Amino acid sequence: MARALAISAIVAVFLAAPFAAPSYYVGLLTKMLIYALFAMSLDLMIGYAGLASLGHAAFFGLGGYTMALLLMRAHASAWIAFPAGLVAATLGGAVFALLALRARGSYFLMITLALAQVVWGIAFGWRTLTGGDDGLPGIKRPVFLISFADQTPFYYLVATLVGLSALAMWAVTRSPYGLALRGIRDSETRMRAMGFNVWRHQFAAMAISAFFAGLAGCLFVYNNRFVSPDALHVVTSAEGLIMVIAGGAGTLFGPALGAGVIIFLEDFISSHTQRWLLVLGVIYVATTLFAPRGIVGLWTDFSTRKRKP
Amino acid sequence: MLEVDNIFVNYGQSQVLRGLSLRVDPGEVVAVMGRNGAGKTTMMRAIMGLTPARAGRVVFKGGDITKSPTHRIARLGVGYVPQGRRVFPSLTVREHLEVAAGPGSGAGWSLARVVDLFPNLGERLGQSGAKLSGGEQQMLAAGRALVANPALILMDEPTEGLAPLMVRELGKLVGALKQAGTPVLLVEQQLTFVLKYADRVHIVSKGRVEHCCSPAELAADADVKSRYLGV
Repeated sequence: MARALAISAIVAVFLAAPFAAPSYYVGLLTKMLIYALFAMSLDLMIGYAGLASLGHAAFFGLGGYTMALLLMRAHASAWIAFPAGLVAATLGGAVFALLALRARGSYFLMITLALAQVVWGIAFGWRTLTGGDDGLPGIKRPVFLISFADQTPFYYLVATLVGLSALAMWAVTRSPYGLALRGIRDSETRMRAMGFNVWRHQFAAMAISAFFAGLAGCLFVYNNRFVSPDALHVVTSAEGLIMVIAGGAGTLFGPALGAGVIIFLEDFISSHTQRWLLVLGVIYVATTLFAPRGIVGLWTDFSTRKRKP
Repeated sequence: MLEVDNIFVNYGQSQVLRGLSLRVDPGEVVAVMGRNGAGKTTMMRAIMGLTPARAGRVVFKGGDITKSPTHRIARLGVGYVPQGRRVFPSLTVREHLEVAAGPGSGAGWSLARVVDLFPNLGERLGQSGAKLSGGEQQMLAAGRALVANPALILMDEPTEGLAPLMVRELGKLVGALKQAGTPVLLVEQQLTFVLKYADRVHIVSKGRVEHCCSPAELAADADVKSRYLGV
């Protein structure tokens, strides 16, 4: 009951925001939602499949770049370019899984990092196609039956897609498949001994995760009307990782909250100082020291302590 | 049903199993006893494909599973209750039994029947596996194997570190399996437990079966007991 109320309140706030907030904050909220989707997709891998990756920006960027290239170089319609971005990201996830799933733990982390750097290198180096460091400017926001060019309709498009994605990911984690993933995170051997094909489960988890990261990437490109290799950079991957850890891995809601907090702080602090990455580092250290299970973990500890004094 | 034929397993340089053989026939409870380090757990791991045998054969229901991947062996109908009650901390009791459930051999084990057998679990369905007592964790590990309805169950020292009351609960389970005709390969250190439920006893020492007898013969054989079991 309390949960239903909380969810309705959140939905109401997001629906009312464009009417109440200045347009600058509608833009910021759009960005928060896009990163929340990115962080939740990474949480599927980290918090559920037990695969900590430092290459998640690759799926984000693959989605965004594929769409941008089709729009700008092939002059394709958004009806083709947008879904193509999602397909490219999902395939990217499958390829990464094929190459990286032979390793675990920090080795998996390093392989995903290396693979993501390859994708970054291509975007950075292939100037004639991708524009290299200059990126691809001048991308127009889509027209899907109606135009989403203005901030408010675009915000509603993002909010709807992120909301539906969050619902879909939540359903995945509650399904028998999601249950099996949590078992795998606890112990792969035990799940194998129970007859589960661990590799296939993790492969699917990476592909699903990459799909949603790619969706976030496409929305990111539409939001900025621009894409550059920064979208593929390891800093983007690391930010995603910190959003997941700061919010609370394995909760979906936590990483979304973490994304919101970090994007807000980035916006707020960047207007005062250039040293945003330093502050991000401090947040990361503080989280691991004082709230290893993230904001959500801190909250559950707090509320259970209150209940039994 | 299960035939382990002359298997060799080593961890790096050290040879743990040196030509171990045994068989489990339909409906039989076969116990394996022996001192710590004799290779009992390694034998279980070799059957499950977790530490595949380097030489020799493991045959289950007529098919060679020596080199099969673990999940396929489990799918073929070998249930495994590992040593040390390994439960999943992030799954609740109910989730444990749901994720593992399957029609299997059609023995008809379901969440309801497991809860019937172990009422303690029924009272803790919403709790995390990590928050159970040792005995309850062992029941959960066994229940998890049961609901997959395996054609054969491997149990690795199920009574280890359990209070006598819990040992009796587990005895109920082995008794129920025996009555249902599900064969059990039981690695166990507790002589009284073995004498009560086993049909045949194998004594393992230094990586091979040194002695094979009926429980009655073992009970009467003071020499074997002192030489291999230290009792």
